[in-house]
Amino acid sequence: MATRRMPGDPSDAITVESLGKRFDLRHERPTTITQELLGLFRPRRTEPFWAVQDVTMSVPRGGAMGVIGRNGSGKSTLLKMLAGTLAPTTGTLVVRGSLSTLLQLGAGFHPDFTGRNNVWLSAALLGIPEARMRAGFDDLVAFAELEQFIDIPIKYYSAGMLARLGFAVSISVDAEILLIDEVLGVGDLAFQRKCEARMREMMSGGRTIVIVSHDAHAVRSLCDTAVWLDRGHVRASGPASEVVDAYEASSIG
Amino acid sequence: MTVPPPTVVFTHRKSAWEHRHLLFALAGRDIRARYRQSFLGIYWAVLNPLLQTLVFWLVFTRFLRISSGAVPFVVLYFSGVIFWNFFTTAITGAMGSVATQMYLLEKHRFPAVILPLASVLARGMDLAVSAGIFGLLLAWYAMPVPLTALVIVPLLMIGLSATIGISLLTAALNTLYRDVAQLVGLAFTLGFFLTPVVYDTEAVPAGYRTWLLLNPVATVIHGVRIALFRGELPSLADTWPGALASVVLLVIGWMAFRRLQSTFTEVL
Repeated sequence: MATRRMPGDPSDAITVESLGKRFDLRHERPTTITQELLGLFRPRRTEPFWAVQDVTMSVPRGGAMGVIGRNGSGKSTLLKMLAGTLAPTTGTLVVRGSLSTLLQLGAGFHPDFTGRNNVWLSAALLGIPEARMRAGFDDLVAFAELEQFIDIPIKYYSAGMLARLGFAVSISVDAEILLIDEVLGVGDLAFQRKCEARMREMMSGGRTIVIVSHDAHAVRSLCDTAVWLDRGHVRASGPASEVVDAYEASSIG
Repeated sequence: MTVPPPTVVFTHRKSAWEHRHLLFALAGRDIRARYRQSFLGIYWAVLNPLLQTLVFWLVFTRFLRISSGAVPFVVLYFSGVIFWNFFTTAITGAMGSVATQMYLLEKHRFPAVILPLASVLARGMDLAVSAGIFGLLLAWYAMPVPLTALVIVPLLMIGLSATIGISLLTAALNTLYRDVAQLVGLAFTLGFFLTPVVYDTEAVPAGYRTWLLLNPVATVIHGVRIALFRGELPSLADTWPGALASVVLLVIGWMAFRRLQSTFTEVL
């Protein structure tokens, strides 16, 4: 018998088996030390809540998978576990390859700083090497169409400008696996087209992509497969168009 | 209900060392955020200790007429307050660093310990600025700097280890309890007088001094003054208790942080 060091198919970029995340909701979480000390003498009332339960899926290397579902369906919890920022409670999670999360509209941006400053900090957060950032900085700004505004504090930016900058930073990462959280569908139509084109370019470069979105259009046009999450469980999975159709039918009906 | 424990494998997890750029980027942002849009900008780092020194000089040498011995009061006070200020401001900044930047931890995979460390590092710049002023002060009073001043390097290690230890502990606890800040504030108010900033350790009776020097900040200030003003090295007996305490603090802080960091992103 061959020894299997890692569960799942080694040609998959991501393997998820029976993954579950439980939060223990404490009705009165103590927020001060006094309360905590008093609480030692009282029974703790916690209520288990499974944000994600028994989720099984896999993404082959170079594949693109969409995760759809309504608000509170567990999409973000699943994404955080894939990103490694939240530890699962049970199940198996294997991520093979370097990984990066595309920012949600410039999370981590600081309003008082200029576009330039924010780009540099975000790059550090995303782990983009400095040398590559220096070389690619002008292209990034040009992509975001912010040449004129890159040196003013981003609190003066419009929502669209912020979104463009956030997206432009995100796509300069060079990881084998990209987790994308609701970043598509930003800016005007022209910019959206540009984003989609850029995403396709990255995908054709052999990258594995997981898109978490409630934007059915983006999932349908960019992904091969999709998973529909409903209250933490997989409601349907398979070819993207089929899953999206089922999801849309249920949302309307 | 029990569930089988999870199996989690990430083949490409970056080490803390690979995240060092993030440490500097966050420290840089901290420094810029602090001084941006404030009227005096970076001069606050100069003004703070100078005004403090002025007030204490007024109270101690003019109102109370207490002699500071051979060393001018201003020099004595400044040699203490720069370390005390670094210690307190670094901890205050680090204490909130995790709680206020949780959004970064939720989105990005990096060691959480970078957040408090960046806060401490950012305050290192203030320390450097005030050390520069202190140098000017010594020049003004025509006080030569003896070679023994080099002892400041190991002494700084003691101070830094205590600062980082308490920073890690308070940063971790602060994510759970909001009253950590109150507790630390009180400790600083009391600690200021239990640390030889406005007075010299020589003025403290020997019986109390042993206890006083268990405080790593006291150890640093005491050692720096002996080295600078007397041209001698601080005795081992005066140094080891504080050094030991600083290592203990670092270990406690590190362990508490390690223990609590898995809960950071889970507090709802």
